[in-house]
Amino acid sequence: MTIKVFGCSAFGLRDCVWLPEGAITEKDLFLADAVLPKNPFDPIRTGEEAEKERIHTGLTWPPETIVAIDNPLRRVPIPCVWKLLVDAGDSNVRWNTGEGISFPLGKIIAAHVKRIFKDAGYLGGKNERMVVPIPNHLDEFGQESILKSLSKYTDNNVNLLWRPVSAAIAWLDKVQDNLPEPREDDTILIIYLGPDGIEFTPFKLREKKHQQKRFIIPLRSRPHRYINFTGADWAGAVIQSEFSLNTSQPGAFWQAFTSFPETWQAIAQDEWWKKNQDLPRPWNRGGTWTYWQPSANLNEKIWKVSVKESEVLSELLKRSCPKRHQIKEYSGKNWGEFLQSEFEKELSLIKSGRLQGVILCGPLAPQVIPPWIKESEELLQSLNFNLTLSHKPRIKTIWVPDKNHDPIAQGAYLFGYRLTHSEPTYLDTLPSLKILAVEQGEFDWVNLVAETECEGGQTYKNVIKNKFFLKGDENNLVTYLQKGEHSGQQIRDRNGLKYKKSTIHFLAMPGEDTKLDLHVAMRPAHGMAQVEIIPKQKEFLKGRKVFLDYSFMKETDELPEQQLGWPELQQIKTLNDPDILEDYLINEFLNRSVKDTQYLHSLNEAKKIWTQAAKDERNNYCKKIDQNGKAGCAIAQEVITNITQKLEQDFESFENDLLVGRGNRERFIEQMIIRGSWLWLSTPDCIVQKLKFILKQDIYINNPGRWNYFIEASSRCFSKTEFINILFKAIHKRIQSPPQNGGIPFPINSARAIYRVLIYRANGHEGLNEKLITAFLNQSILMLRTEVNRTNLDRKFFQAVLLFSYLLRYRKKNPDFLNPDKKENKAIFDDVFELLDTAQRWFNRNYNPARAHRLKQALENIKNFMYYKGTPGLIHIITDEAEG
Amino acid sequence: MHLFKEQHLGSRVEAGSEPGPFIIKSKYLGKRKEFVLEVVHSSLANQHIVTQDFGRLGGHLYLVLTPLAGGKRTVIIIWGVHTASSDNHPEWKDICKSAEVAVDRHIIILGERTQEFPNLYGFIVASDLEQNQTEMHFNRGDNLFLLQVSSDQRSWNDAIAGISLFLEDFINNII
Repeated sequence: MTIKVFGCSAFGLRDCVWLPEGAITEKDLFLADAVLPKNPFDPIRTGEEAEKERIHTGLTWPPETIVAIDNPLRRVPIPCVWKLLVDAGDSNVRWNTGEGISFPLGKIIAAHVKRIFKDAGYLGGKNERMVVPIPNHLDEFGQESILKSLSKYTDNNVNLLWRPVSAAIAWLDKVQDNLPEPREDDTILIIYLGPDGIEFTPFKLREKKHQQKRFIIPLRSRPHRYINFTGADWAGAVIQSEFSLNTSQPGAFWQAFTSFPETWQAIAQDEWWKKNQDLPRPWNRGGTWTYWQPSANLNEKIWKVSVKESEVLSELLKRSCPKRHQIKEYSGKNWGEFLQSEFEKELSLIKSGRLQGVILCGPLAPQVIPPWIKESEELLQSLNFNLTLSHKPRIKTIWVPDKNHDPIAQGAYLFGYRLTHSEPTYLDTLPSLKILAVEQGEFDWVNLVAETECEGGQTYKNVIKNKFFLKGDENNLVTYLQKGEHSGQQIRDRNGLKYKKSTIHFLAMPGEDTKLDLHVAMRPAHGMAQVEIIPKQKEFLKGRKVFLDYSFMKETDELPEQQLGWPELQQIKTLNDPDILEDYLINEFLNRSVKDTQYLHSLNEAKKIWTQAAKDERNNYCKKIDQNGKAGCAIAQEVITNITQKLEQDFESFENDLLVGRGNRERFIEQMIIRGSWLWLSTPDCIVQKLKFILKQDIYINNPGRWNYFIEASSRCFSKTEFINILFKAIHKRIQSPPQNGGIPFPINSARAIYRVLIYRANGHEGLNEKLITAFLNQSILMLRTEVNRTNLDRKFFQAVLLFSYLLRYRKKNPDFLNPDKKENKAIFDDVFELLDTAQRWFNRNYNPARAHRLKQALENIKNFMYYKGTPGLIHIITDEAEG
Repeated sequence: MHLFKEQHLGSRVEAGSEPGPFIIKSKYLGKRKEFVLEVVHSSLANQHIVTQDFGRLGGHLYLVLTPLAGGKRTVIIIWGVHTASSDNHPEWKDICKSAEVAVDRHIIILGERTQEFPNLYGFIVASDLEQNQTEMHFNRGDNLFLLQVSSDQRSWNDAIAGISLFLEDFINNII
């Protein structure tokens, strides 16, 4: 079956449909409108039908023509809808026409697109393919909305295509035979100037072969900079300044904006005064009639107009579609400077000699080199690119297509043609999309769609297994989605909300818990990823398929409350103060020779400085370095690095100095190790290795005092699992074989060392095993009981609580550890609960009510952890009491 | 334009369905003149900047002519008079007289306190069950006209031709 391809450019100004037999382009720059019906089930009028309607034309008579700032509009300029749809991001935004009636923006766009295709002879049959270019920043949600509305009309044979990709395909199609094999950084820059947006889009180039034919195709990265201004803002600003209009004359503005072509023609540098025979034209202005006759030098004036949102346009649209993006910053005083600045920003990212071509397209693109490009000539030359304009596609030139040649529509056609013939089109970078999985109470953001390259028009597939399950007596699964990377910095949507919440409905309950596999399919520029949920035991669905339904998604800023089975990792807060380590004692140490008799004293004084607590601007206590040995700012960090390097050199030189007596050397090294370990993970490696050696060799097992110091030192500076395991084994060994000279089997230093590792190191639990955890658990309960039985509960009690609660992190390794459902654990649960309750009663009697209340919350949360119902954010209360 | 099957308060035109606005162009002695013609229904007249105070005149339609080059506006007040159900309707000249008085009084009352008060003209379309002819009747002055039309539907084509001829002529004279 031969497929006839229709490509288009349908952004509402000089729209074009590209067919195999040629292009149909609108002749003049008249803004396209849609007229929305009063009844939501009536059709949306577009094209000629819309132009014939009197509704909201901006006159003062008859009443339905009147536009007012406070009333919603039923006449919708198509470029404004595109812009609003882009601004809407992943929100479902509708155009409100008043009286409770509204229309999805995608439906309005689809109505406009349908009309221009219909006018071009598109019938919607199976042998026809429609390719519709879309703005480079249009979210998948917006794409979905357009596709949904077009699907009934097009027999699903519709493709969306990124607008700049479309123009790039049109250019490359003509020049690819003359292009050498693209280097990694070879770039083309597509500049789009249109009423709905202004885009500067660079593409890298890649080579593909198909049946011996060579194709150079663009590689689209995730769009980075979003220019908020549009040609509509520009035209609005020109109308306002040329005719001194403000919000008191919205109708006059609206007529000029929607019905008169001169402003658009001036921006496009058309010689409108030679062409437009109907000037001066009747213009209803503020209750009276006059003539519309722009000044002859309007084409020059447009460059000097201030860059800002058109106040009247914004006010007119706000009642219909209030979610317009707020513009926060821009560069350049006027439009000429603004465009030059944006152009140069893009050029500055391109390496010299790598710019292969510039394409200036869009209905507002001038036919001559505009001043803002001329002004950038020097920069272009520095990129080895001559300022040459060409009306035909050529390498190393600025391609400005003729007015009747729309490269966007042509590229759309070529894309459709190539898809039909399985030829390469372009490479796209898919948007990252993550879904929240909860594993043993902890959140895990799993990639539904990874940010990967994918061929245009082809389908990306992914399967997620063993991350989700449906309970036997439930038929709903609540999911949370998040776009972009999830690396601490969370990406908020354009409404400032972080997540999308959706409930997946299964038509029946599975009867027993069943695992769910997620099968993901996504095509570039083809709406949201399709996610099918397939249960392992799928009989209960009786052949019915279940998909993630985006239409019921709600924006949210909150995730479900975490139900944790162990306390979260903690972070030592540091102060962001560059002077915090500027201290003469540190400088003194840095300049002191290791052979100096005052060396250890100096090291000790310096250590006191970097371990001192400090207060932040809110009077909260902070440290100068954190558990990773990092200071709060780069300058302070440099001091830490200097200390580390100095200690490393001193330690190595001293250890190898055989002139020093053995006893002295040991004492010296011991002091250096203990002081040095207060650099946490910035401790010199030689010291860490020495500690490992000491613990492994049991060197101080019969010297309990020193052993204690080394155990605690190790807990600060060990981070590798292997080292942590050695530390834990050393502690365990002392429990099993207490020192013969009377040392206790489990000193407080052991407890502190264990919980310190588990508090600060994500892999801490990996250093434990069944034997170790059993011994440590017993010791922690014993310690708890000992402390509770004392008449005065102090810091040691909290250290015991901290140890017990952080041992629960072993559940990450063995989910069966202290399983609350197992009978054999009941005695432990009862024991710990009773001890905590006794302690609580003591606090109630002896502490002030506020402190007792805080402790109650924290201790209750420990019990909750035991039952996998703990919440994050309370354990620091115990840590504060334990660490003082 | 939407028309009712039955007249409503003397008018068959549905409010809001009036056509226009129109641009009327003329060239007289080489001088180009352009007007905008707006058709205002009586039930919407209060919303129009020019006819908002014309309620007392009781016109069924108002034709508002605004010169594009600036200058005084002109309003033609159109009344429909339906005599089909009356045994003894007033003479056309009495009706004309009554309308003229109304227009004059209106000019006196509002003209003095309204800036840019428009020129007012009256046009009465009077139907008669007895008459088959479309006929123009004039008052003494030149600002009030009455067009007699037949109530018989078979003569409505003639009536429409008469109305349009009159309006064309009338507007031509004004502009």
